[in-house]
Amino acid sequence: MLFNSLQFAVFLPVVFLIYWLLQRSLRWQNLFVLAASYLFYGWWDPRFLLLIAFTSLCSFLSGLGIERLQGSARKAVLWTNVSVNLLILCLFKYYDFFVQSFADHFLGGHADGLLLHLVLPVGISFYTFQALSYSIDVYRQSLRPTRDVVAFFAYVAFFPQLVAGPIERATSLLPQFEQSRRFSFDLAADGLRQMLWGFFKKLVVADSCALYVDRVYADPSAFGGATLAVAAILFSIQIYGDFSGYSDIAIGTAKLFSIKLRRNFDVPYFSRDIAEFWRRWHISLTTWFRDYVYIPLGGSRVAPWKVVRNTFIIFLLSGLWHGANWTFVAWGFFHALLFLPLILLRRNRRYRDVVALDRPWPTLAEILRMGLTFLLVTLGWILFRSPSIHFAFNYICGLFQPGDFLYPTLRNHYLFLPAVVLMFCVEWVGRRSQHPLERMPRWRWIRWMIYIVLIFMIVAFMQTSEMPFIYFQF
Amino acid sequence: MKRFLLHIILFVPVALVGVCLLICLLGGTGRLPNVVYRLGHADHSFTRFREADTIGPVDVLFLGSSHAYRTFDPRIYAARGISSFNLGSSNQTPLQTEMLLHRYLHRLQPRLAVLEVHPDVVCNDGVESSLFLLSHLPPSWHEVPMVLRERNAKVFCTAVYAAFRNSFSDSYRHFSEPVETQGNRYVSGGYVERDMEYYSPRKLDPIGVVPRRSQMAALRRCTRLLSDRGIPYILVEVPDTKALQYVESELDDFQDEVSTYGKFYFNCFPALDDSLHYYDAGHLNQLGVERFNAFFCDSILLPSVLNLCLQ
Repeated sequence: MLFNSLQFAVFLPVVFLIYWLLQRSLRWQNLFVLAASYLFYGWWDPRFLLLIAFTSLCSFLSGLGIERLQGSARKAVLWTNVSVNLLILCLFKYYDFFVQSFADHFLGGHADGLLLHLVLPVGISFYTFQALSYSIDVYRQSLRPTRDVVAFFAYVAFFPQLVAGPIERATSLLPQFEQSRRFSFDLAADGLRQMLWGFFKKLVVADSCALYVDRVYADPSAFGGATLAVAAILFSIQIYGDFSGYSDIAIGTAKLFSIKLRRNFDVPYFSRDIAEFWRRWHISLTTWFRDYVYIPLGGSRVAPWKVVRNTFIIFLLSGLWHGANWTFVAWGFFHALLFLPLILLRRNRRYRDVVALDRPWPTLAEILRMGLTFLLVTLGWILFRSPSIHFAFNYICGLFQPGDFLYPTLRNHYLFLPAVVLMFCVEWVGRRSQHPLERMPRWRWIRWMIYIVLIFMIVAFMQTSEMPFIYFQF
Repeated sequence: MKRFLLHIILFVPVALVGVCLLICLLGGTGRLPNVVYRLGHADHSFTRFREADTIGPVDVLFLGSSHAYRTFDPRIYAARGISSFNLGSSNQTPLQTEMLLHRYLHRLQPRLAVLEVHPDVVCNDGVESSLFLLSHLPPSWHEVPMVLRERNAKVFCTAVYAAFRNSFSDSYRHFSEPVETQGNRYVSGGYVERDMEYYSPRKLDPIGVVPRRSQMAALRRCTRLLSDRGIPYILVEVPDTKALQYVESELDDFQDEVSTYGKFYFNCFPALDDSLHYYDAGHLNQLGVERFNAFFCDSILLPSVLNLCLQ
């Protein structure tokens, strides 16, 4: 079920009402959340419910096992659970990719008999990482294992963040399922506002950019350098609108159920260098890799060559997490190259606060730094969006074709540009808040007018065919 | 919780009015992608519906897509003493046919209805046709169920803007469509005659026929509506060129299903030549129209009318 579908428009109010009717019984409420989440997930393909249930069961049992056992047996249980989960992930997501890559290099490309052609279950990377974090946290004794199987299954499958994050930690989400929740008017109203902003970013900005981007990426050789450049920039905006829009809808939806999810985006395109960008983009994934891979490897407090190794491991894994394609690996490699000088020179934590924290406008130097960071990130997105390395290389070459850097074509697709400008302006104004609509004027009629204008823009600009979220494929 | 629900209940109607107001105010700027309001088209819908609003009862009413308004020529039926009107429009699907029946049955009171059912249109979502009709028809409540059934932002926005524009704007009231546009001449009675052209047959890939459930349900409702009003009807699939092939098994399933809705005529027409009787792969030229209608009128329609008289 997509957030931008009519089914969800019916599903959400019904689930919301029943959920709060069951307020008196925590167990029944959790059971209902679990049933609703499985219905939400099973809408795509009910077969994969078995997979998510299996992943949940393994992690739940491993948590109990880790608590009960001592010494190497604990470690064995942890590694068994990690291996089983990663094996499932690799089988569905990476098996065909690695076999095909091997066959391309050593068997002349003939791998037909070896390929499994499995359907990629939606959100498998997200819920697998969420389940893994639980058993690792229990092993590290930063969390007591839960004995409430329903609460745990609900934690893994909670529908707002099930298919595209934020990747929640058991330490913050699981306790919320273990204690009774009370309805909060302010939290629910804030949730609706955040959902509205998410829908605006997805339906108005991202989907409109997608029309232009898809057309250019379908055949880049047919377009001049300027059009390719515009499409590359628009893809940067599309992927931000799409993914951060999803996160806003997910976080906002969870607030309706008095459940708080972690922030996943913090105005990443206002970053002044790549290190800051990675602290603000897909925060839940970045911190997951930091806490469970980077720091155990020694982080940055080791010999310089190990810092280089750790940085590459993190970025290559992050690239591969996104998809089974060398383009994602190349994207990770590209970002590792950009990040490395900053970490080696210990300048990676230079910008901790949001830009122009106590000023309305940035300085010229900040504008230039933000612009440069945005351009570098945009160059990386070309690798991310391309179907192959060769395609990306040709695309980048096409940007600089001599004599072809003319005024961009496809001009009739620019109707949505005011919406893009509006998005960045609103995000700039609200950059110190959790989301731009968090702090609204006191007068209700002004607030309502803002909501009505946003709803109007959604209705008047949205694409009429359902366009899935980009991160669903990961 | 009660306060929250109260706010929602209060906000929804206010938001609906506000959004509609903004659509009405800004719809004419041409900057809203989901407002698709265009007056005047080669299918002459504007002229057809204006004429339909002025005429009285007819013997036969034709409805359907371009296959209907480019095939059923009222002059041929008039020559045989049968009055008729053609309410066909571009890409008209059963969802729009249903709306038109609700709107015009009372005025036209046909003794027989001919519903043209083409495999192409039942696979169509009907959005394009809805936008057409909404732009050209004076607003009425009959459009509301169609708009709700389409569940499409484009249809909703265009309906709101068209209702506003067609109610209050002079440009709609005083709009006049030329009788002939781009080789298409409007003939009184709803028919559109095309300048004589011939089709050059070429090989086309077979087209799949996967009818939408919403369209088949709308077709069922159309036939029920006619039955309830005591108006006999026949369903017709107008012939295509042999070049236009459909996936055979899917076409058979479609024809079998439509046959359960009423008397369905297909594959029973005299041989028509691809390069002589058509101007494109799916539409008859005037030569084909005359040949087809002569057969249809004498072999299918008149016996049906006779049957009615005997009843």
